[in-house]
Amino acid sequence: MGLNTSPIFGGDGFITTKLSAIANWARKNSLWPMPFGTACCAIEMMGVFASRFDLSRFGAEVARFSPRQADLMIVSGTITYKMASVCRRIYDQMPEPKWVIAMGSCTCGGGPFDSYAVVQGIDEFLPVDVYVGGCPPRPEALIDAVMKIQKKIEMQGAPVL
Amino acid sequence: MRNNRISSVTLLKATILSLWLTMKNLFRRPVTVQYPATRRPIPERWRGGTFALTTDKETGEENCIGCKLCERICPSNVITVEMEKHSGRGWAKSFILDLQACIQCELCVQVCPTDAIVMVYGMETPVTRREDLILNKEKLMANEKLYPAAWARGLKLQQLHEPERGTEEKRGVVGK
Amino acid sequence: MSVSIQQVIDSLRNKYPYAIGEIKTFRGEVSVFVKRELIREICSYLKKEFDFKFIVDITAVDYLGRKTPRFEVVYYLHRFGPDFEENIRIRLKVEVPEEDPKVYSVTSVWSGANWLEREVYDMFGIEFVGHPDLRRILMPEDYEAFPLRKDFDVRNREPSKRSFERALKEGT
Repeated sequence: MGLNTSPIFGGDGFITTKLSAIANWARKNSLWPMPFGTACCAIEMMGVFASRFDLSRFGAEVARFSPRQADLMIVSGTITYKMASVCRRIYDQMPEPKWVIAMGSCTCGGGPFDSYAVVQGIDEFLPVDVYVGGCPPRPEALIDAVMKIQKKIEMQGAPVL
Repeated sequence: MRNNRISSVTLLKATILSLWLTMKNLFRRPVTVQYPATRRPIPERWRGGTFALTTDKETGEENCIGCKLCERICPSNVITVEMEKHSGRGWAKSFILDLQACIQCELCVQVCPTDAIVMVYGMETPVTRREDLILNKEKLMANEKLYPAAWARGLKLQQLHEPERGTEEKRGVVGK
Repeated sequence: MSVSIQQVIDSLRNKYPYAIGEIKTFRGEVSVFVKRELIREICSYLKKEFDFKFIVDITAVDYLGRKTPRFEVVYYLHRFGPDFEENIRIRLKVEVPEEDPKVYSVTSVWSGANWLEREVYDMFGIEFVGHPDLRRILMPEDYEAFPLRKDFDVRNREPSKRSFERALKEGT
């Protein structure tokens, strides 16, 4: 954002603020989530997508089960180490820019499963943007998380072109 | 094979019925809750959200005596209490509740002998850092002023669990 | 043909007098200790003669420090009778020593035993001789420990982490 006077661009200077604002506005209002539901939190996530809470009011209703078409990953449910490599691969397949919501206690910190098979928090292998606690969190809390992601996108700088 | 055949009358009836349902839903009021603007009412016996540590209304002292009962009963071991003793009673030197693994079973509220820890009528707040999910004593005390306390209290729940005292005549129960 | 559990036990005793060990009855549930070498023969005999069509479960118990043959493999067999009362369930137990954790597979008798035996192999490390496809079923395939053994620390996440990192390297 601001006046760009880099000698690479001739040194004349131009303003990038308008473009980034438009790109961020478009990204923010068309988040396509990739639902990675492995346990009971996924039921609550379905509730968010359905008509009672209606995530389409935030432009995020197109749940894409192909990671190539998604840019927001909602990890909801217990992630075991065997599942973790799959989760990481799906995250790697998503195109940039991408965001991750960790939904529920199990994804935030392992939940009640302090055992040999369960990952103690998915930030061991994923960069997480928003954590939502709760077992499971209410649909309103997930909507709050999506709104927080939107706020984060708004704050971002110039888009990578 | 004859039983499998559907007559055209049945087919027509079914089509009209399903179209009628579509028509009905077209003019119905939408069920969507416009969340940030309007909120669903939280039920009275709400169990969820975050926690708060209460203070005595008259004296302003904190209720927690640091007895570690909640630490003992917590199924996912998220509560850590340190106790100190001065001025005639126990105090919680530090009280850490780790919402990262809390499953909101309300057992800590149920065992509390002084109504110190309660759940509150409030949603889980999403955070951007994992450390923010760890509630220390200051955050728990601040939660008391931020949200109204939920229905369940330790003493109230313990009273509900208690068997009724006295004989049946004393309690006024007449024989069948 | 109505069959009672007593008939099954008697015929087992007559047919395999040396293979049948102790027979315990607890609240109407019968457990029969069987010699390790003869488990497949006894299972196919029970299936042929008494129509025990259904293998309910195969599991194992680890008696670390309590008994000398450390493991016990447990087979639950079920017979569907014509009446509700004639449903019979019998439990066969095989003692397996720690030094040589091997049992004959019963997949030739019931094909449903395939995955059940794989699970026991996964969790306890007991090998099933003659199993067509003995791989791990729940844990990652290159996992190193056997998690349900009593000498395995349940909170030990190191083997899982290692196989997770290996999967990451190979996968992407």
